[in-house]
Amino acid sequence: MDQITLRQINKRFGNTAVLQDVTLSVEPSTFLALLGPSGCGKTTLLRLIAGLERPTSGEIEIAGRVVAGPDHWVETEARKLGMVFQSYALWPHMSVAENVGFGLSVRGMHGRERAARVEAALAMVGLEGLGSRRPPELSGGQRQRTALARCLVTEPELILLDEPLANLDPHLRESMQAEFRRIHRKTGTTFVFVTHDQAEAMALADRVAVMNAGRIEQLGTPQELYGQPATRMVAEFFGKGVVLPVDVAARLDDRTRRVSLGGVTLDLPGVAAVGAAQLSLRPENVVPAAAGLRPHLVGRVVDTSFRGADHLVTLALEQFGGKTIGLGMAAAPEPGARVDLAVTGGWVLPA
Amino acid sequence: MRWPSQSGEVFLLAGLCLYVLVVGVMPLGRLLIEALRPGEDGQAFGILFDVWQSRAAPRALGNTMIASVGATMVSLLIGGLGAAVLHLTDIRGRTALGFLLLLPMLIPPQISALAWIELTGPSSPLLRLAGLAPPPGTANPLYSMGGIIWVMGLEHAPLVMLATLTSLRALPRDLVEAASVSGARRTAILWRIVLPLARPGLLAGGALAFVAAIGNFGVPALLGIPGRVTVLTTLIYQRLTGFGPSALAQVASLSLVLVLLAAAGLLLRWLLLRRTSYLDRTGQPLDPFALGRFRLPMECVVWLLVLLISVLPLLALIASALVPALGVRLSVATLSLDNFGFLFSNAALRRAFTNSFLLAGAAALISALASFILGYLTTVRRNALARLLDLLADAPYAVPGTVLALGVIMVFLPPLPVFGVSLYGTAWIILVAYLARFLPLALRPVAASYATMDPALDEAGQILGARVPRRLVQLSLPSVLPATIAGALLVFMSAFNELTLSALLWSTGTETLGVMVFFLQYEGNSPAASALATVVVAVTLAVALLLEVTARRFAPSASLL
Repeated sequence: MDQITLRQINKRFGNTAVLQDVTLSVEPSTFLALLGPSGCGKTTLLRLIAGLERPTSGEIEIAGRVVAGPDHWVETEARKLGMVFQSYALWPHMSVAENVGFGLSVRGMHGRERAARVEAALAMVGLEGLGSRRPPELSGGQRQRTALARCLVTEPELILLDEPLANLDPHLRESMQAEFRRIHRKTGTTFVFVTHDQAEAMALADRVAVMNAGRIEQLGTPQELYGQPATRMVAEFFGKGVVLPVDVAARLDDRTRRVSLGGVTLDLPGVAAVGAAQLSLRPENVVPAAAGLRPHLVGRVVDTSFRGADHLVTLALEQFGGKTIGLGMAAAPEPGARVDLAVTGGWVLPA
Repeated sequence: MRWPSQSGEVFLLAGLCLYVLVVGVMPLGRLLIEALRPGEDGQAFGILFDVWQSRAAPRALGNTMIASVGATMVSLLIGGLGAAVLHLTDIRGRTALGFLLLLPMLIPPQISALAWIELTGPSSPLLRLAGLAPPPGTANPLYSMGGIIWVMGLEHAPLVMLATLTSLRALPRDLVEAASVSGARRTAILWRIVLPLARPGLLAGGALAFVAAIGNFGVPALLGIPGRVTVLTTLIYQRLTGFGPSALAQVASLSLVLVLLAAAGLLLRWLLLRRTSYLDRTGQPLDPFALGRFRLPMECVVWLLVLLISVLPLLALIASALVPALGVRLSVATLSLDNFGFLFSNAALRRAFTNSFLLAGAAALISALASFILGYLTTVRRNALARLLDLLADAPYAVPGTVLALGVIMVFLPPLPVFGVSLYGTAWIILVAYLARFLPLALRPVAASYATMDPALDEAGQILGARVPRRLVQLSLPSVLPATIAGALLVFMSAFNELTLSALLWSTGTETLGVMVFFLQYEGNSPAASALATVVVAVTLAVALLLEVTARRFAPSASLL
């Protein structure tokens, strides 16, 4: 049985369609990221799962129970979820322990039992002994941990996180990412988290749903999304690289295509049909061409920056209207220098 | 000779010092000195002891306390419920409801009191129409402590409502949603999340209502004097009008207690508001709770109550103005506009219209100009002296009006130096009191408007070589003009129907409209008083409408709701 099932979800605010025909299922214990640019509907989708918004049409099932549908509605408070808000939403008039214990007290748990559960949840997030603090006295990271403890204490099967790391500085963000992975492994709870940061999605999630303009563009593991993007939007939004127009000349087998890239014929992995298509190239799919061989692509250096182990060289591809691709090189060429490239891989996707 | 480039600023500061210190601070300082003077036998604080050993003073203090605490309870109840209905429920017509709930604040206390008298008394035209009037000859039930508490409580309920609304608006939606996700139902959310977070605002509004009740003169003057319930403000009025300026030192001692009570209330408010400063004001506002099938019954109850407390007294006032003479039954046949005709045929009333228009207009213009300059020097230039003046400017508004009027008399009764004439007995002394009293009303919206202006706008002008006067007019004025106009309208509205100050400062020839309403009613000519009050209310509401339209469009900080 799936943890979450969404069927044909539509959501309109007035005349604006925010979500269109979203269908998705999430298995238990998944760490799912909803990834997309701002305004793509990812937060609305999360709020629909939480019951903080009602879908215009479609059906939502949580752990086999229909919680939203044409004839069904289960209020947020009865959905038994946990949620971490972007603002953390800690109640300023309660101490950390009272914040964490609130969910237990509305379930009728009081006294020692509750205190023990609160202390255990605080220990889980590394806030032992800070229960008497007030939210305004906490640092950003501590507030984040308090919000997480408040979710964990009721041991929900599903935790929703709305851009939980957006308000933290980059250094803290990395240590919180590690913390999320650890807690996810330890509790086995299903996590659904919203982010606009593809690096964060890649680092945390075992499934990623890339969203764009109210629809799910692609759902898959980070490896699938990176190596085999289904659409141009996914290829450009998830991971670095460049997307170039190609012509598919022939289908060599299920996952190999013979393509023409600016007049050069190459055999590359992909699923596009014969005719106009696109090629997603990641930085590791191109290397400087060996001397004497005909280059697949020709680039001009527009910028170089030293990264420590090597130089990141940004090349403009002259045949393709100046689209750029980054390449790691041991020595930095002069700006304006020509660099010949060979294509060693990539993914051919439909136009 | 060229003036040094700072001179413009120095002149402006000097003018503002004159305004704030002479007109506002000096009267209060002088009052303090007079009140603490030794008695005739030379005993330290003698006058203070003498006054408080009499029987009348402690009794008036007791009445002031009972009336103010009672009225604050009424304000808390009505203001708190009003804010909850407006911000937390999905009943229809909330904007209209909000303005109706604000109405009692816009109507001056003496007119509210008059309206309630006309509604509930034995000669009440409305009650007689309905056959519910008390039998003729019985006293109006509102001529009592209970009446004072009720009318003052209603008058100040909007203060509580606005303060609570501010708290509720600062409450982000997330905090309520987080409680839902944690499994809390609506009642639990209301009691454990919303109420605790709104409580500081509610109580701070209550403290403000208490301070307003302590200093209220209009309501106890109209209800307490006939009902023989004397509070401190009416005791001071009676002593001063009875004994003249010779009683000044004595009443100053009485008024000192008013200052202390007001200060205690304001301190409490400050302590309460200090604790709410950490609330996040950037989050999305709360969604109202859906009432579902309870919505219609709730709407009926709320609208009925609001019409009863905000609209019905005004209808009674109008009805009473349309009755040809006291005690005549109101019907289509007896309907008459004679009382309105009387307003324009009576010389004293005509003078009062002219006086109030000119005084309120002058006070509005001058205080708005001063606010424009003081706001600039405080907020944009961050001048230390200007910031001190800005703080001091609040004092004459924070103390009860009676106290300010006494101080103004003390300072301006002796002949002015250089000119050799006394302002006492002229309209100028009323203007001085208005300028001191209402400056903060103009200052607040202007300062809020300056606060949203980037100081770099002014600095950029400075770098290009523009002096202060040019920068003020060309760079600041366009941004803050709407707020300045709103401030001026607010001052006009408050001064136009003011009673507390002019009751102590008027003399023949310088009557104000507030004084005339009071006297017509005092003389027993309540149809004429009602007619005058109706006209004053109409002008006030017209100005309020103009203010709200200006504010909503251009200066949100001055908006009433």
